[in-house]
Amino acid sequence: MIRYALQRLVLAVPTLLIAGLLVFLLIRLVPGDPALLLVGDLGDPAALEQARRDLGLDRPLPEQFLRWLGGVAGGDLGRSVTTGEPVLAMILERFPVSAQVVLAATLLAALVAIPAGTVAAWRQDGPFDHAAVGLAVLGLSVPSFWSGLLILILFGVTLGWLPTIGYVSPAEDLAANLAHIAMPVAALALTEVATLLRMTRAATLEVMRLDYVTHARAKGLSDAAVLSRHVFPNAFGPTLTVLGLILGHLLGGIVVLEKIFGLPGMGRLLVDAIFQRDYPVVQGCLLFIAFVYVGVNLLVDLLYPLFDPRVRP
Amino acid sequence: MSAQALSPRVAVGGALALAVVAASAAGVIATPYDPVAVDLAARIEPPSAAHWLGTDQFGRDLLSRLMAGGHKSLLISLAAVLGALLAGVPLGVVAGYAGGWVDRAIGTVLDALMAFPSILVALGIMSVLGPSEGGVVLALALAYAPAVTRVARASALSSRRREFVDAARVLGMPAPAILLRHVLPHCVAPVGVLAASLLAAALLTESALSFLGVGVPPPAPTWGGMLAEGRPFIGLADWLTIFPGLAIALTLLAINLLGDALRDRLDPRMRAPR
Repeated sequence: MIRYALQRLVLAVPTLLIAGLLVFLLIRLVPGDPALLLVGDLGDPAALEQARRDLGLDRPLPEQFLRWLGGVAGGDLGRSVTTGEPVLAMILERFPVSAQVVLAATLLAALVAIPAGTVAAWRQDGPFDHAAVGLAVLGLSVPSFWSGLLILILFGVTLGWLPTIGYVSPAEDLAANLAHIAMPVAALALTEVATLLRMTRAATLEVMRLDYVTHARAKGLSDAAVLSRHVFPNAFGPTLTVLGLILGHLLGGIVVLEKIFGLPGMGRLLVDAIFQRDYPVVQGCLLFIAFVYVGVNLLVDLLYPLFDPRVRP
Repeated sequence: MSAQALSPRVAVGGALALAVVAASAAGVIATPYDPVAVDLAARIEPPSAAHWLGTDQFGRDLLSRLMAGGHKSLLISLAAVLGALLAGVPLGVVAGYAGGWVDRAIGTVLDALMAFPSILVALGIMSVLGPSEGGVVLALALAYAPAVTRVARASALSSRRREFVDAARVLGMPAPAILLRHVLPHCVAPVGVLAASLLAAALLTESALSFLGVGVPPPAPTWGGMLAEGRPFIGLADWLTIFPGLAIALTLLAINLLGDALRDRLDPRMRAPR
C-alpha cells in the first residue's frame, strides 16, 4: 500500500513540473517586454533596467525557469503588479471561498446523483430510469452560469429569499454565509448531478452485467442485498474517479459564478488579474489550481484501493 | 437503449439542431433589425409584436442579436473542435503506434496539460492573446487537443497489436501507409463520439469566455456576451437573461442528444444487455 502511494506520488512530479513550465512559458509568449508586464507600467528606463536585472530577465531562459521554480517550491509566487501584495497570500485569502462552494456543490451532487444513478441502472428502462436519463441530458445542457442567473431571478429577486450579491465568511456568521453561497452551490451542483448520475448509472450497468451478480440474484438474495453488497461497492470506484475529474468542471464553473454572485473567490481574482494584465497573479492562480486539481486526483487514486480491492497491490 | 427509445431522441435533437442552424444561417443573410443598431427610443422594451424577444439597454433587437450571435458561436466552436482534431489525432495515432519513448514523452506532456481544467487553459491563453475571435478558436483548440490525443492514442495502441497490422508490416508496408490505412480508420468511432461532446464543451466555454468579457469582443453579439450585458438588469428586464441562455441551452441539448445517439450506435458497450 505504501509502495503504491509512493509510486503515485512520484508519477505526479513530472506532471507538476511540466505544468509549471507551461505556466512559466505562457507569460513569455505575451507580446512585449516581460519586465514591463511583471513590474507594471514604468516610465523610467533605468528603473526598468534595474527591474529586469532583479527579475533575472537578463539571464538565459532555462536559468530563469530554474530560479522561478526554486521560488515556487519555497512558496514564492511573486508579487502582484497592481497591489504589490505577495501572490500566494492573495490566493490563500480567496481560495477558501471557492473551495467552500465547490465542496458543498460536490457533496450535494454526490448525495443526489449516486443513489439516483444506482436506482436508475437497477430499474433500467423503467419510468424512473427514463426520467433520470432525460433530466440528466437536460441538466448537462444548461450552463451553470445560466442556471445561476435563473436561480438569482427566482430566489434572489422575485421571491427575495436570498441575498443577491456579496459574501460573509462562515467564521463571522454561519447562517449568513450559507445564505450567500446557497445559490451558487445550487447552480454548480445542478450540472454536476447530471454528469455524475450518468457515470454512476453506466458504472452500475457495467457491474450488473457480470456473472456474480446474476449468481447472487439466482441464489435468492433480495434486491437490496445484491445492490448494497455486490453492485454498489464495485461500481463506486469509477464513480469516485469521475468525482475527481469533475473537480475540473467545478473549478471552471466557479470562475463564472463568482462573477455573477459577487463572491470574492479565486475565480474572481484570476479574471480581475487578466483584465488588469497582472501576470504574476494570473500565473500564480493557474499554477495553484493545477496543484489542487492534481492533488485531488492523486488523493482519489490513493483512496481507490480502499474501495476496490482488485487494484490493491 | 432500445431502438424505440433511440428515435425520439434523434428526432428532438435533429429538429433542435436544424432550427438553431437555420436561425443562425438566416442571421448571416438578414435579421429583422440591425443587430448592432442603437435605438434609444426603444430601450429595454419587453417582448412585443415589433420586437418578439424585446430589446436591450441600447434598444437593440434581442432576436436579431441572437440570430447574429448564433452563427458566430457555432462557427467558433466548430473551428475549435476541428483544430483540436487536426492537432490531436496525428499526435495520438503516432504516439500510440510508435510506442516507446515517443509515446512516453507525448504522454507526460499530455498529463501535464490535463492538469489544467480546460476553461483555465482557455483563460490563460486568452489572457495572453487578448479578446478576439481567432484567439478563442486557438485557445479552445489547444484546450481540447489533449483529450483528442489521449483517445486517438488509446485506439492506435489497441489496433497496433492486431493481426492485420502485423500482416501489413510483414508484407513490407511502410509505416505511414499502415497508419493511414489500418490504424487511423479505427480511431474514427471513438474520436467522433469525443468530438460531439467537445463541440458542446466548446460552445459552453466560448459562452463562458464571452460572458467574462475575455472572448469575442463587443459590440459583435455573442450569446455569452448578451447574458453578461443582461446581468445588471435582472429584476428589471429578465428577458435579457432568459432568451440568450435558452439559445445556449437548446443548442447544447441538440448536440448532447445527437452525440448520445452517436455514442450508443458506435459503442456497443453502452447498449442494454438484453
